Amino acid sequence: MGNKKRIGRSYWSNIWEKFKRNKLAVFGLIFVCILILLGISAPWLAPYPYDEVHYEAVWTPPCREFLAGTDQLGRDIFSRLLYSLRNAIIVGLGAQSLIVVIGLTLGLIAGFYGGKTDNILMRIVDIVYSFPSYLLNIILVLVLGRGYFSIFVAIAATGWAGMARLVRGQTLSTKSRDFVEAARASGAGNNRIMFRYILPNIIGPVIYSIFSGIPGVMLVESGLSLIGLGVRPPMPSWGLMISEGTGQFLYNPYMLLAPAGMLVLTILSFNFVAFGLRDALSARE
Amino acid sequence: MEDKILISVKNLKKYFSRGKDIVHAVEDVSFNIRRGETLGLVGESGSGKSTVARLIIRLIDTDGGNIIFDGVDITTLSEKALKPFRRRMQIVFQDPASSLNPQMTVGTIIKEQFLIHKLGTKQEQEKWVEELLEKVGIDPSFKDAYPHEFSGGQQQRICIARAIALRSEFIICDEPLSSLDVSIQAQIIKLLEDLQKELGLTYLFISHDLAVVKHLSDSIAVMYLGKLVEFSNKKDLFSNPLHPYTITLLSSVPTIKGEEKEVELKGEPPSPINPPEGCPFNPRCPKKEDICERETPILEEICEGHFVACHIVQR
Ligand SMILES: Nc1ncnc2c1ncn2[C@@H]1O[C@H](COP(=O)(O)OP(=O)(O)O)[C@@H](O)[C@H]1O
Ligand SMILES: [Mg+2]
Repeated sequence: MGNKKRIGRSYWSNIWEKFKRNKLAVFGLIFVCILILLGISAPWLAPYPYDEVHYEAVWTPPCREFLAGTDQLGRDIFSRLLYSLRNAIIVGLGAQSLIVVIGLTLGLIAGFYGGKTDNILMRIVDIVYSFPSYLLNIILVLVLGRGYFSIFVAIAATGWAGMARLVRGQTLSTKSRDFVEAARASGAGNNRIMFRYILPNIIGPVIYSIFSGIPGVMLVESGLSLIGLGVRPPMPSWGLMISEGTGQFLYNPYMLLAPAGMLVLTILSFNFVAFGLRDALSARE
Repeated sequence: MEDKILISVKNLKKYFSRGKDIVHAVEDVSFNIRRGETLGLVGESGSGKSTVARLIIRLIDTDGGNIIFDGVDITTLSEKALKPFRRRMQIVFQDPASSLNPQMTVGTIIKEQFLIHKLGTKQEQEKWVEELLEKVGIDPSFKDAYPHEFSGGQQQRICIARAIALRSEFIICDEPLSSLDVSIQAQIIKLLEDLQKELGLTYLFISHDLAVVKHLSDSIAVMYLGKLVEFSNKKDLFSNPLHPYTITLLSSVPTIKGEEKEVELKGEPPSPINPPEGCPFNPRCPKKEDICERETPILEEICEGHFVACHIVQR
């Protein structure tokens, strides 16, 4: 102590200090921010509408007019990439939000109340876990019909189980820590203990899990659009663009390389942030 | 005399199940603490001291026996009915770092006590927090700092401030010095003594070390494998220890000349999962006789206020 200017440094500002020391993670975070901004502003940034066909210019390699070239219908690949990014981010954040809401609530309840509630909830988690999730995703999209909402639901229907398990474990270990016991001994009620003592102390791993889960969600969406169950065409998606590009790889490699590159870049960025977070959270001072 | 007793536990029992086994953590523990006095509870690690503490403060439920606080049996009170009593008793744990919520400033940690019991206005709460910090020797201007910014000794002071915030009468200190440097231990003892004098506090002071409780306590209870083996006022216990276990414990307390007597405990303490038949101490006891392996000795008053559970001494 003694050093007055360090006073009031919260747990989170310490995590941030440690996160900042990891260059790769900082790059990842910068990229994630840029990608999200690009995704949000796709309608304004894209030089052409994503479905505008240019029959006079099919399969044009990248040039000044079409920055990433055009596809078999002469649609501007750069614009389609921006919209794909937008879709990936909407699906990634949307599905993860649903996963967090369900997983956090159920995991917290299971871990906090224990006993029968816990047994039942964890049995359900085990069942969901043992399902082949991609198959379930496909079935759900088929049942619910294509669209953002059904993709969110389809992905969250299987994804919440992992989050619930994580939150339950964290809740269990936090619940028995001395500061929770001290609060209980002072007469703090269940709600107070859950929201002021347990939740703030488990949110770190939850944020890590959100970041590390987003790439998986994006891949599932790409997988779904590969078999024609992703967002509804002509709305582009990386999965769809990659499948269209694969057939053209020998003649027009840019058609595969551009979406594949963007997918990899996005996934790596989120993963680097996740790894940085994990290291910052687990580092002990 | 009776009306001076603030807390009284009678035949307290607690068993934990561990897989198929049953841990006999607390087995028939009874004692009284008079208002304004300190009871030192001593015993090796695993003898059930913390479990006694957690039973008294109603963090866990008993498997038998009664806890009587200021004449009221609180053993089975509902959480709602217990709330006024929670205000009157508090606990200070061994590890101050884990006793403080890392997400709250120390000011908020103390203020929580007033929020839980809906006491005072915002301004009053702030004022009380500053007064409390000052009282335990922490500069009140540090109230917006987080627990990890303090040293272990300072953290323990903050825990003590939290424990006295509600003007509780009874404070359990569960090995509050064990994780601190020796130089700091003395300061914390001094603080606890000063607070007791100023506020008339009653302490249950738990330690695995007789030397620590020697200074603070009025009376001393010695635990072994979940059972009370000796209970007495401090003077009698140190001048005339009766139970062979207490005698071995005392022999490891350095004497004034700094020499240590040559009585050592044989072997590891037996496990509370399958406690030995008869006297719990018999496998390690230097004075063991046949009866010790057959019958469990009961705590009996040998001379005024001096209780012991030992067949040999009781004869
Ligand atoms: N929640 C629990 N579940 C199972 N066993 C426990 C639990 N709490 C304590 N015990 C066991 O009870 C015995 C007494 O523990 P404790 O009261 O912590 O002893 P002490 O504080 O004297 O070191 C130990 O054997 C310990 O392992
Ligand atoms: Mg203990």
